[in-house]
Amino acid sequence: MSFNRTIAALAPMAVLTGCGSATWQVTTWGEAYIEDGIPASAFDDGCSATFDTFTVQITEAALLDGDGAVVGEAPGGSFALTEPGPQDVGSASVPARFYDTARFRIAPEGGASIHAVGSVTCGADTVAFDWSFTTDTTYVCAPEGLTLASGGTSTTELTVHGDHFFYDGLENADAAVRGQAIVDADADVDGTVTLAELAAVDVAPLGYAVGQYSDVTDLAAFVTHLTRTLGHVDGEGHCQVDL
Amino acid sequence: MALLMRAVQGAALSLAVACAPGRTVVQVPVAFAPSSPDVVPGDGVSIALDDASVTVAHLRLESPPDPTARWRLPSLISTAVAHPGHDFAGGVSGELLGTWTLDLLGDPVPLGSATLQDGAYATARLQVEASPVLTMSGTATVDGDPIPFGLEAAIAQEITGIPFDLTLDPETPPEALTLSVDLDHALSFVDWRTDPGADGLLTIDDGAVGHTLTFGVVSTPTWTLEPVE
Repeated sequence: MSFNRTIAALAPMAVLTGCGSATWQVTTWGEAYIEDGIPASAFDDGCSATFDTFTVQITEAALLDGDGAVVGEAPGGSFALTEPGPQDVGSASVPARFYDTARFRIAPEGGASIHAVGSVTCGADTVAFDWSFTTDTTYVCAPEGLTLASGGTSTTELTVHGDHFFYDGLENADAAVRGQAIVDADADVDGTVTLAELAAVDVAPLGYAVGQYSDVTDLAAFVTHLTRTLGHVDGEGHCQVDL
Repeated sequence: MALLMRAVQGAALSLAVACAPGRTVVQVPVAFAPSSPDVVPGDGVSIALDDASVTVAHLRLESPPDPTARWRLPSLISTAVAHPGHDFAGGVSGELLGTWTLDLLGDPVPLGSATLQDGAYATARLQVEASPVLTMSGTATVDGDPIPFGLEAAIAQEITGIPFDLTLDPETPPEALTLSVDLDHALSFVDWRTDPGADGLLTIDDGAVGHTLTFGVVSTPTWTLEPVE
């Protein structure tokens, strides 16, 4: 393609994205793992899990320009991810152009940042859980191919991965999803595993890996840390988290 | 093979230098400082080690994370995109490539000469290799009772986030870097009261010893990397 033809081909794109405004639409979704449950096939130890409640408090959903300045924010709010999604988080009018960074924050605001209620089943044993977390996590994400054309609308999804609650590693890429340790933590055998019971379980004998987070020594701290890894962008897109 | 490895390492360093415009590169020797065979992991336990060795590879030295870097650019020296942790250390600005089977109780050992770019450093990482396997043997004394042990473990995990606080001025580089190991911490997660079984010898297969030994060996506070001024 000659130089002139290249310029001619790029010109309409410049017109589309170089001026005017566009709508940045934000959604959130917990996918089938939160809506329907995590099947045994996803667990390394044959367990399974379901969620009755999975609420996240999104306190920031912002689109950033190349200088890191916020150009538009969706209002956010509390979202029950067990309801069918993707759910609408809100939208913002922003300058039409290409963007590569969105920032999300899941933080406590008038309640927990994350509230998960459900059960884990391993073989014949099932335990319930009702966990509230106050972790405050900012995700800096790179949506792929987010070009907002003038007058148009493009969507970015904050995807929440419920299976991360059950990972056996905090930073290793080959972490497995395991449930048996959660079931075994039910010290009083009342069928419900509390965060206090998780706090009584050392992670070292479990074969769990904490990587550089050597201050994480019990299962409650481990699961709490994992709440800061739930957020992704547009399905499987990774986000940077400052921990 | 050794010649080939040196050639590959040299090429990698040359590439790194070539792709670091404006940054000065210096060579700093790295040595391993062994530990005492007398270990006190706590909980009323004392240990006399007869043998302890581990195989490690590729010491990488990382700058502080750049809070303004919204997304990592491709780098010749790759940085892992950790999943599920999503943790981003700073970029690798120095390295010493190679594989070493360390006698943790022996004499100090020079590991080689690391290549470091000037500037600030915050952390280091080191790979534990599965082969040759980690070995530890000796006698733990628990409540006055001797418990002999012989542990072998094929651990393949990376030690991440080792604190490494240095601002490298190429005019006044440190004389050396010293890598050391804290066996008190490394062995503090093992339940030395675990029933060693009928043979009277505590092994890697007894109870959760395999998990707890691994946890301690790759635990960040087990390792220290310090500049020698």
